[in-house]
Amino acid sequence: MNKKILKIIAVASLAGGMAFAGNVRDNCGCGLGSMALGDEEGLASNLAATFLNAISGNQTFGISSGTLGCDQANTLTGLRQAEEYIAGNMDHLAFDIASGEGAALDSVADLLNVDEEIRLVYFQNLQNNFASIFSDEEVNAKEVLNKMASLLI
Amino acid sequence: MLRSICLINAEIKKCGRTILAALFMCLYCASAEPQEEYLHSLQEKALSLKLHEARYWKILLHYEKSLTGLKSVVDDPEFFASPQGKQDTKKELLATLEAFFEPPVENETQHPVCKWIARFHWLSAQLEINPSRLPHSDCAIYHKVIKELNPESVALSYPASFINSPASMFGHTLLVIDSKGKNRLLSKTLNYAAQVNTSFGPLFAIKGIFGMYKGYHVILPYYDKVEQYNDISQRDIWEYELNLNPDERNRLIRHVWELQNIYSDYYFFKENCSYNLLFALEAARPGVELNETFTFQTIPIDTVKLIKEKGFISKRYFRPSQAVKIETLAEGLSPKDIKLVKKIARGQVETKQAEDYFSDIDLQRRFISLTAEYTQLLYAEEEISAEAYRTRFVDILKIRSKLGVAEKGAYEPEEPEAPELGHHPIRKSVAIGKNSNQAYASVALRPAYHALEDPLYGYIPGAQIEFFETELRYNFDDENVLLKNFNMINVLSLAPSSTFTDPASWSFYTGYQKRELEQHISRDEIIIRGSSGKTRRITESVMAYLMFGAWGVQSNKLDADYDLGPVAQSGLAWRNGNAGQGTLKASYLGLLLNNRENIVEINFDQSVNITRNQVISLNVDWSDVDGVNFWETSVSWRFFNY
Repeated sequence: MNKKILKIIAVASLAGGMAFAGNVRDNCGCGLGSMALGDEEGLASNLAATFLNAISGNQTFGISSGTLGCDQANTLTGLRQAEEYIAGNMDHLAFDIASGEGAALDSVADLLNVDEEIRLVYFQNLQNNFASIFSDEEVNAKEVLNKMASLLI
Repeated sequence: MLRSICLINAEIKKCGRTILAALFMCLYCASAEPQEEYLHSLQEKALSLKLHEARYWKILLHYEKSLTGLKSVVDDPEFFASPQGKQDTKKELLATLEAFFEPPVENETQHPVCKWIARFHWLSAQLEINPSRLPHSDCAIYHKVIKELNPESVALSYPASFINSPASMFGHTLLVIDSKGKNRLLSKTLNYAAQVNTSFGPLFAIKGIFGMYKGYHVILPYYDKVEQYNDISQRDIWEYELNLNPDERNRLIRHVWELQNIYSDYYFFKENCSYNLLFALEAARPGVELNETFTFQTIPIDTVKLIKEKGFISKRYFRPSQAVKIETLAEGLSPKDIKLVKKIARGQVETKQAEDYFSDIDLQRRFISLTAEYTQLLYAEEEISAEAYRTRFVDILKIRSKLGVAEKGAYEPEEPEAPELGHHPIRKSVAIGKNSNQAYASVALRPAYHALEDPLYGYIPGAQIEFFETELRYNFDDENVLLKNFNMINVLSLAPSSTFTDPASWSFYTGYQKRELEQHISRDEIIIRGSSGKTRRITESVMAYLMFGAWGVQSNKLDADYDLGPVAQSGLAWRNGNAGQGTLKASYLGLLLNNRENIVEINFDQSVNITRNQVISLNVDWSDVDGVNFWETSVSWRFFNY
């Protein structure tokens, strides 16, 4: 297990405890762009934010009910993106975790910087714990992310 | 001229929030005189180099030849430095250089040097601009974005056509910028699409055709688009990875940066999604001419063919729609198994019954995965409620999670015939024939796009879209030339029912036809006709359809000049592998309102494909207008290009 991952897990557990706060940038949603620009509040450039950001909108399918806290954890690049991604792709991710493979699962693993060598084992681990990750159908992106991160060890 | 750079007081007031900024402004204002000089020297140099006539300048500003000279395709004033920039390449060039000398602004991205980074980059290289002599020469935010984006490759994504939605019948293209080490789903896309505010079909069509919508260039996450096309619209996506080198990629991304949130008036046929993206590819690889290829129409798949021809494509990847995934999973299951899948998905049978349904683990995996996917499809189609869907979906996946991982690629659909390998859209034909009157020769032109009678390779079976087909005839006995028909719109959407879906089929026709009534007597008709019904697949390669509708006809040989009546259409469409294809169609058309007339038409067409872009066809027509028969047989040579 590399250091990066450990750090992510540590931070993830922290982030899990944080309250949702704040304003979604009206024009550009929140996500990659506002993440990249997170520490430059004064600069609030719509142009740049939109370029990175891409408004993810509400989930089309139904599992997730979480809204994103755009302001939290500005520095947690990978995590912020992962949470955003999970919120927009909850159904595909659930399907992939249950199947032990798939593009949505790969994407989250990419965002969490999970090493290629441990992915097979990690995905199996997730699959075995599907019922605890999706313990009820009201689960939100943050909860899923936290459970996924805690299973990395 | 230099825009009052030295309104010292005003500027200082505006920017002088901190002492540092004020100081900076003063230094900057003090140096205004040499700046003006420098701007003039750059403008002179640009003119002497004729940069406003340079091809790359035209690419960056999307200039194109029009009837009134060069004109930009872009309509957004934000895109230009000069108010005349849309029509005047020279004024735009001079104004752009001038804009680069604008004082720093609080929001860096609003500064021309940053906003028009591709132009700045190119002009800097051409004119050897010394950045230290500009008031502001950096775009830190862009570099930060690029660092974050970490672009590795660029792909062109082609969500294939979806016949049942008129707006998307030609398909769509978007650019995908892949980040290093990240799944493509996480990539950013540049999408150009009309901002549509009506769902009323005919109005949408008219506005779309005549440029009454604004089309915006928007950056979105690719997974959003994949979900929209694959899962909601049930369209397959083809991705074509481009072999851009790092310089080309950087040029492309700089241009994309300039384009984001900019609008151009949207024209369905030519200035559409695909056309606008070609500029970005030209910006990347300026030596290659792309847009000049298309005069009247830009069909998305044609742009794929073109960039393939020009050597842009390195790899192709197929991303199946959910409908295709479902069909693939269902292979190997019996009708009884599938019945149970449907019952569970609809909640008519408890989810628990799916557990241990098959003892064979592979079959069980298929069965459960299929049930999950199908439940999702039902939800997407709003056939089950969100609450029912959530509970059921999670319960089914819980069962799936106990079944391990499937063999690699076990449920991956086979890649279908690639759309860029299909025939070209423009069909030209020459024919000789004989009818009840006399022998004739004819020429015909169809600008777009595909008919049931055309080679099927790479096309969706049953999806016919024809525009403006025109046939001219020379009659050997009468020694005259006449317009036989002008088929303005001729759409036929035969969507066969499958195990999991039962879509409607429909047809729409409007145009002019010369109808033979009896020996040497014909009638000019302007027709509008629509019908809908069902299609079934009889075998793997034969479809049968039956549709009902109505038609209206205008002709000076009818009482009251017009009439209305019912329509019934039925037919078979088949494919003989790659060797040929054919149709047998029968229609009944009645006139009720002002005239009493019964028309029956039967048509047979069989083609032999010499190549994908060349066919020989035999066509036999028989018609009956109130008991008077008319025969016609012809042989034609049809060839396709773009």
